[in-house]
Order: sequence, then C-alpha cells, then structure tokens
Amino acid sequence: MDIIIYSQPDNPQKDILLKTLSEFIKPVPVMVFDFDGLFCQLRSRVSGSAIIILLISHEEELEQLMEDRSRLFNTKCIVVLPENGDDLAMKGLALHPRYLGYADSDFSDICQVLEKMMNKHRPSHKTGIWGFCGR
Amino acid sequence: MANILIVDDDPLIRTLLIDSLTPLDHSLMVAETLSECLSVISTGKFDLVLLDVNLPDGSGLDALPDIRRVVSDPEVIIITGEGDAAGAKMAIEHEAWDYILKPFSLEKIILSVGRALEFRASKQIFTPAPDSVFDRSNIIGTSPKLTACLYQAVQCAGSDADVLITGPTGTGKELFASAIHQSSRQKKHNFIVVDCAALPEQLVESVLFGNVKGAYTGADAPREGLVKKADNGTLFLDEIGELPLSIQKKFLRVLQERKFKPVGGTDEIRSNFRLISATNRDLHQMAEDNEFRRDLLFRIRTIHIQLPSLKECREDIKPLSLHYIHSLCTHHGLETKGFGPEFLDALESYDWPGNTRELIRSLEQAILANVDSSMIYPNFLPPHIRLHQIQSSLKIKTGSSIPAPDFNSADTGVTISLPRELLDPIAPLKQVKIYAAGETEKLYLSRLMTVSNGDMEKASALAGISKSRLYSLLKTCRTDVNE
Repeated sequence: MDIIIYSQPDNPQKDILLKTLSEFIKPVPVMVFDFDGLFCQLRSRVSGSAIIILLISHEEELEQLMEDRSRLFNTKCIVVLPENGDDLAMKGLALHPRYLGYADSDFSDICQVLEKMMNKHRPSHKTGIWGFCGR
Repeated sequence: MANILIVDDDPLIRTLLIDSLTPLDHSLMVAETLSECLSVISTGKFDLVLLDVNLPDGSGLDALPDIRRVVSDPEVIIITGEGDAAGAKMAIEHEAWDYILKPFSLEKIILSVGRALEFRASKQIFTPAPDSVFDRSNIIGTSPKLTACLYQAVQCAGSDADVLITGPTGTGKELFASAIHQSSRQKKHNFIVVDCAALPEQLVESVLFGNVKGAYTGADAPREGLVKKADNGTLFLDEIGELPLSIQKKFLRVLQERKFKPVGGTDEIRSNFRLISATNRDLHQMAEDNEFRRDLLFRIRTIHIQLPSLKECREDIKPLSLHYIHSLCTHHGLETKGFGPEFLDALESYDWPGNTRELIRSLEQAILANVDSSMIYPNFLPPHIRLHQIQSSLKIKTGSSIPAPDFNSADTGVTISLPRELLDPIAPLKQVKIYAAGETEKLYLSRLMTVSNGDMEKASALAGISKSRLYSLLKTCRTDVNE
C-alpha cells in the first residue's frame, strides 16, 4: 500500500507530518504539491493501492477537491485541516475521509489511523495477491 | 383484481381454493409441483402465492426465499397439513403473510387472502419502483437479488428507521448507504461516514463524541464529535462490528436518548441523526460470542438489507463491466475500450470472492495491461482469473474437472486418463504422446499457477522459463480448451 501526501509547497506542517510518519510507517510517502500531481499519481496506480493524506491549507483547496472528487475514484483518504472551524470541517467531511485530523496536533493520531488502515489492507495468504481483506 | 398462484399437488385442495377465490374476481393460476411454481413465478407478476409445504419435488418452505426474491415480491400464505414450530419459524423469517394448517375453513382462507392483498395494496402506495424516485447512482445491475435490495433501500429512504446493511466485502455497502441518504428526508443535511475499522480504540470515543479542552494528553482544543456533526443528517457507521465493546455501550445510550457527553465533558449534547450501519461480519455470531452487544444489534437493525455476493448476481457482471470500463478508461485518460464475448466469458466464469471491488480492480488491471489496445482481451486479465477460466472450460469439455488433483495427499502421483477414442481403435503412438504431453502441460501449469499464487514472476522462476514463454504456454492452453 502506497502513501501519497498532498500539501501546498509552502505549508510548514508537511515536514513535521513527514518526519512523524517516517517514525511509524515503513514505505516512504510520495509527496505531491498540486492537484495535477495528485491525480497523475493516482492515474499511475491501480485504484485502491494507495492511501492519500490531504494536508489542507485553505478552504479553497477543499472546494476544488470537491469539484474533482470523482477523480479520486474511491481512493481512501485522510483529511488534515488547518483549524477547527465548523464550515471547514463540514467541507472536509464531505470528501468522506476515513479520518479527519487537525494540523495543530502532533500527528500521532494520523499515524495510528494510517497504521491500522495499512494493516487491514495487507495481503494475506487467504486473500491472494490482490489485497482484498476477506474476514 | 389480484394475480394469485395456487401451489398444491392435491387436486381437491386446488379445486376448493379455486371455487372459493373465483367469486372474488381474482386471476388464478395453479401449479402442482415446486419446479412448476418456480418456473411460472419467475415469468408472471403475482401478488399472492398460496403455497403448500409438502410438494412432490420438494418443500415449499425451502423455496420460500426464492419466491420472495422474484421481482413482483408476492405475499405468501403457507398452507400445510403438517405444521411444526420450525416450519412456522422459517415462514415468519421469510415474511410469509400467514401459516394456515389443514384442514382449514374457507372463511379463514378468504379472510387471510383479503388481508394479505390489502396489505400489499397499501405497501405499493408507499413503495414506488426503485428507479422512479430513488437515486441509485452507481448501483449497477438488474438481477432479482439486487433489485430486491433496491426495493428495500427505497423503503428505507422513505422512513427514518435505522438500517443495517450486511454483505460480503466489496458488495457496495457504502454505496447503498449513500444512495439511501441521497433519497431520504435527511438528504439536505450531512452524510457523515465513520470507518470504525480505521479508528484505533483510543481514538474512537473522541472521534464519535468529541472532547473538551484538556480531556486527555494532546487535547489542546475542544473538538466536536462526528455524532454531533451528523445532527439532522445521516451517520454511517461502516464496519460497525469493529466498534469496541466499551463504545458499543455508550453508543447504545446515544441511540436511545439522542444525547451524549463529549470526552472529559459534563454537559450533554443533543444530536438527532439517522443511523445506517454496515458490516461484513456475522453480528449474531459476534453477539453469541459476547463480542457485540445484543441490545445494540436489535436497536440498529430496524431494517436489515443483506446484499448478495457478485457470484449470486452473475447477470450483473456485464452491465457492471460496461459501466466501470468506461469510468476507468476516463479516469486513466484513455478512450473507452471494447471487449468481445470471450472476455465476458472469462469474467462470468469466475466466482469473484472479492465481489464488485475485485471485478473493478481486475478490469483496471486488464485496461492497464495494454493501454494502446482499443480492445480488452482475456489474456489482459490477472492470471488467476484466466487460469480459472481455463479450468472451468476443461470441466465443461471433459464433463469433469481435469484433474484438480489433490497434490497435498500422501499419494503424490497424478494420473492422466487417455480418452477412449485414442485407444479404441488404437491411435498412432505419436498422437497419444502429443495428447499426453498437452494434458501434462495443462496439469503442470494449473499446479504452477496455484503454487505461485498467480504471481507470473514467481511462476516463471519456478518453471525455469521466461515470463513471455509462460504467457505463451498459458495462452496456448486456453486456445486448446476453446477449440
């Protein structure tokens, strides 16, 4: 399972997130700095083979993502918001993320969720190489 | 006027029922056996079935689920000479309207028929056809089992009742939940998804109920929980079976009182939401094993939709493939590709243990296997699916599985049978050798792909041949089968 992090290039939180993730998660995440890069990464993979972390800086980013939501093609995502505003949270939740976190945290919650999601999608002997998590 | 099917092998009972119901101006049909009943019911549009239990070719009770699943979803009145508790239980579980013991009075039958038809008429007023007002979005397919689920979803959309959606992984539980929300009274409000399987135990409570500032280490600010964010809308608890027992207890209280306290808080918060839950786990078994609260289970399953596996809806594979090939090609910036009947054969012959999700993923792999080709061919599919098709074709051709030998048994030898036409009259040795070599190769490839779990890299290494040679052998093997 690959991890793709989307962040604006000037968002200082991205470095903290990346550093925290590297302590918890084995695969090195792919970092993208615009939506074209994000969709390009998604197109180059079989859908469902990546988890996206959307490190949001501004409300407009969420609005743009909502418009292009179909291009995410059911990829599981974690949304990280810059602040705890009601409107912003509702826009984030409209993307149906697996988890909604905030950038003012130490990102340990994001790591825990990510770890659980990756364990769930780890291929097992029973499910073969295609990664379906039959229980 | 209603269409009524009388299913009874006793001519006296049939005559009695016809004589009693004819004056009521209903259209009557009769079937004497179970197979006749199932054949008639799948083509007709019946409102009511009067079903005998002991029929010459089987039990009417066993056929009850199939009868209830046909598109017209008729009401059923069971008529039996040998009533028993288990039969009555089964009848009730499959929502039979009545369970009448023989001998019966004509008044009782006429009364029961009248009430069943009244109920059906009232139900139809509130149950429009799934497509008329229900936004089925990406729910693709017209198989009877899927259609029955769509009808249930329509009923859900028209009410505020809590819904439990169960079904194997990859059958579209979230899609159904979203479609119910989009067609419900709550559609103008939020549809909040909580993936219980993604949340570590220590986070679940604060995610659901929120927290006050300082509630725990790292809680530097107050947070509103998702239960509150779902106020006036729909809360979708995906994989509810993963909810820790401690949270189950708290959540039950929320469902009963529609209020809760955030973590570390003392003030109660109200939230009026509609709950849709989903799971691929057997919650009844979990309740038996004390892993899921029985009282919570009863509370969340006011309406229960059991989604079928893709194997049970094979007729949906074609429309699903057409839909997703178009979507996937668009997603990858490609022209929509076409496919031929042999590709569809390969898809339809496979059992799809990962259901629609696995189908979508396999289609995507087939599309990406050769992006320049305007057509998708069976050999673009993942090897385990192609292999399955080869084995299925061999079963059809020889009347039995080739060989599917038990490689794990103590007797490790595998026997190849020579067909009679090679031995009587005796065929030239060269011809027999070619046949035996071909069969050996098929057996070997079958075992090789099983052992390597469909991994071409590993398979070619084990066989000591190149990947392209292995592809070519698999292709030849398939061509032979189709000849």
